[in-house]
Amino acid sequence: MTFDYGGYAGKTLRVDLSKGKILKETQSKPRVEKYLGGRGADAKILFDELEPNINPLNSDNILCISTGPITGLLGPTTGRINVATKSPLTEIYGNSNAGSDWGSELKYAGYDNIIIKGKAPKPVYLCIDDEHVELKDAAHLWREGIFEATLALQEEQRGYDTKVAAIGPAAENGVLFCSIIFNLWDSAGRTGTGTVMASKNLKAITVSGSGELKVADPDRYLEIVRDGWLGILNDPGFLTGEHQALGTPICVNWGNAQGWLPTRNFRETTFEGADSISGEEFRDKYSTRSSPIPGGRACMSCPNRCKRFGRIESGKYAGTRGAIEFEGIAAFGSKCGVSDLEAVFHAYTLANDYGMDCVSCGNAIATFMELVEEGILEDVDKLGLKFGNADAMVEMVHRIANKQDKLGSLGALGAYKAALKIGKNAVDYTTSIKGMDTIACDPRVAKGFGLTYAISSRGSDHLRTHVVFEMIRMPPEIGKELFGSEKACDLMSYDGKVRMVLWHENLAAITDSIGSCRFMHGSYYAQYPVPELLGKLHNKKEVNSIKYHDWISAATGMKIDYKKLLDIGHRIVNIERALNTRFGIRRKDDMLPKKFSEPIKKGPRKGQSFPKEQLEKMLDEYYTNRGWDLKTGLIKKSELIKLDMKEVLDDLDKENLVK
Amino acid sequence: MTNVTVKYLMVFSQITQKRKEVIPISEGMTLQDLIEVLYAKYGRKFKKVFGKDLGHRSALITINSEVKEISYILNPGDEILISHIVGGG
Repeated sequence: MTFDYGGYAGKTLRVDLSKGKILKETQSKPRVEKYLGGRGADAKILFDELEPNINPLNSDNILCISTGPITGLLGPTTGRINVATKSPLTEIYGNSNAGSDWGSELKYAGYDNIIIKGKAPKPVYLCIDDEHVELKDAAHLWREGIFEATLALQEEQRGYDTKVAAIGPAAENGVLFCSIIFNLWDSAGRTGTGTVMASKNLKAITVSGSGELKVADPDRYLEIVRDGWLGILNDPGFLTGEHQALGTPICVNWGNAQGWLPTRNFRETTFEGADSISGEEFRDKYSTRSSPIPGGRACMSCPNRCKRFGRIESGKYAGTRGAIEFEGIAAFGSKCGVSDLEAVFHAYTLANDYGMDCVSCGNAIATFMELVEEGILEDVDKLGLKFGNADAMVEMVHRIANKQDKLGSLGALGAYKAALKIGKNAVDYTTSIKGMDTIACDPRVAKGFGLTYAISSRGSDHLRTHVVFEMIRMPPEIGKELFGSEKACDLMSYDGKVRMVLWHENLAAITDSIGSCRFMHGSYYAQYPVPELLGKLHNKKEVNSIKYHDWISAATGMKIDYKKLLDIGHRIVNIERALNTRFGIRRKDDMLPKKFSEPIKKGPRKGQSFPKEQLEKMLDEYYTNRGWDLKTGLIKKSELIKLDMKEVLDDLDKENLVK
Repeated sequence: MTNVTVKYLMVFSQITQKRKEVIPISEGMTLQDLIEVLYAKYGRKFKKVFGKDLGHRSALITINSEVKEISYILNPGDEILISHIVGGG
């Protein structure tokens, strides 16, 4: 082991694109002890090194790409990679996460993370081949889509053994919500990290690694991992086999049945065309086993295999092929009122090839459709921009990616900034929080999701907690035990939801920081102590579970128990808050858009809303638990001391940003 | 004799090989009676994935978008949706 702790590769790559310099540093021991890796470590790096007031597209912005200590190891999901920067979309902390095998490859090459600064004088790509790391000319790839750029780079390197992270032409055009796409299909989609990468003239990062990773206690590690595997394989949700069969598009019909599927830009919460754009429809008509790769695909070391692939064989969109996920279907489908799955699949694939975030792209189009219908925005480009027009929706994807004409240029700003530019009361028709669009679940129905959107450190987002607990009819006793209320299991109850969000948020921070997948503790509930509580309830003698604390301990050699694990999650949430306070985030920003305080007008959830007073009450409880000042939302000094974050406190104190 | 529409989501649509069907009902027929009809029609596998062994993840039935008791008396034109309880997107 070259580093004090197991699991880690032990080195950081630091790249200055302006100077063309590449440094290899020893991994920071204090940083991984406090923040583990991935999302936590990236937030700390940005806190320490980023000048907060810069334009996100300035060369001084920093792009961090990080794995965690279990990335690339054997275990129940070890394939996630984290990306962080100052977001050009939201102008606060930007962060996204992808499931892939790219991160594993980076570690096999010998590096835990990459810190990228500066701007190359001309387009380049970063080529990592074990110890050989260099910047190479990428002029021939500039303007190429994700698919072509990725395949070309694999041909230039070691074929499929080379893993590629690339940006597309939309990022090069300055569309503010572009993604970094790993190995063709796996997108760090949100907050515009790809746009930042493009602003640095960095087209791609290729990685080929042939090294090995070591864990601190191999025997114990295998025991822990076996327990974790059995935990997930015996999870009641996993046993239904539904995710493996349909992937995340399973949520289209399910969300519609529960009445939270955003429809026509959140005007409604059920879509009459849901079944036409559902996972079942995709499975029955387009799913493939032979092309482009088998119909279901997994990230590194994952039993869930949730990625679904398909192709359109004939008709207008013949030749469209690739992966599809729920969020993109909802963004281009129900949110735009489009029930033509072929158009939705085509738009989705286009957005991926252009390198754009499907959620923000679809939301921008849906918002424009509503603004045109309301007479607030003129359809100046004569596209027939109205809900249900699939052709206009697909055309807008092209126009946004190329910033073509007025509507394309406006759309490239994302819904919120476009609405500000449009003026009048256009912002009232957006669903953005802290500048980021809301995903495909209406918080007027799913109350835990609502609080999550409001407090999420990267703007409106469900993945900071993924409180699926409220959706799956969990026994009330478990809600009572974990979150103090039997009603925590009820979708539309507010009871117990703050504690539910806090627990999930702490664990989500851990998941993103070690390199594991959200589905292991939210969606499925294989994470300790849920299987134990269910086992007790059903008098089961043998119970298996994923125990992050034991897993991290056996891998790294750190001594982490369950309480300490939750404390680390709490610390990670706080370092992100500390960073965001520098970007000006205060209590007023932890909000829900006007749309969500208004009652749903029709459908089975008619009359449901998320009243502002209710949110304020929940925020008080949430802030109290987080150690944040109730009035301002700044972190309290005492909390930072308690969390052993004195160096953060000292910095914030100098800037008068603590209470 | 009148009818209800039964919609099958997820694995239920694979077992039944259909996404929806119209089923005749008689007066006073309950949701429990309908489930027995479906057990008989689609056999062991349907019953297994429907059943209680998945605990809180066993099948969820909504009628006209609302969860109903097993003793609910079916009305002509009811739309019955059968799915598993899932989450994660």
